[in-house]
Amino acid sequence: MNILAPFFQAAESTSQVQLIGAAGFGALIGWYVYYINRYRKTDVQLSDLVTVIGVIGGGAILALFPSETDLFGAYGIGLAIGFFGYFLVLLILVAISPNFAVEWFLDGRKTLADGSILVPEGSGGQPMVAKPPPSGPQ
Amino acid sequence: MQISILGSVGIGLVIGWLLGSLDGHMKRPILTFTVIGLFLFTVSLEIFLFVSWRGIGFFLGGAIFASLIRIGWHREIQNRIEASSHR
Repeated sequence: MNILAPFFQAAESTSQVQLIGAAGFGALIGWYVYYINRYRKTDVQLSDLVTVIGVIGGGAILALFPSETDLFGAYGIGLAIGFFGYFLVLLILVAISPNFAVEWFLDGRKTLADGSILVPEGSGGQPMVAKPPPSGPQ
Repeated sequence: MQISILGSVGIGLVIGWLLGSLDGHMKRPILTFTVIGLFLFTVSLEIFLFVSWRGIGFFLGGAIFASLIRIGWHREIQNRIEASSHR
């Protein structure tokens, strides 16, 4: 008797195009979630977790992916692929760069041309702040 | 069903990684852990509605795995920085 059989029962059928589309949507969201988290300036707040809940299982997701299909599962797979795909790209870029090492992931430090180490203020990359409007006559 | 199970694992990995980033940044641990508990309960409820009760186990397993990996990796980097600065 296959004890794993209950885990592999067929759900309501969905087309491959639908599954790929749901996974693609999830990948897009996952990529964007990592991007937003990377450039987050302040510590994680309650509103951030509420936002993640909205992303993972908000009204749009509930409307798009019926509960008796594999679409939600495909969305979750895509979410992980997009999220960790961004991370993988960062790993590759840091690995091939002569100015950055794995420590960059901790505090954004980099090696300058003279060999010294620069640790920028705050953690991670540049915070997302709006540029001030140009002053003077335009 | 296996796609749904894998999707639950995927969502768990993402959420676990995000929660792991809280390590070292918690100013009010009791409140933070309470909020995290409510958050995980909410997402687990959604997993239950979309997948099944089995999906909850895979979701939580993925979340715990990813958060531990994230926390351990960053602490390893921190130890490397401290070791190199003490030379």
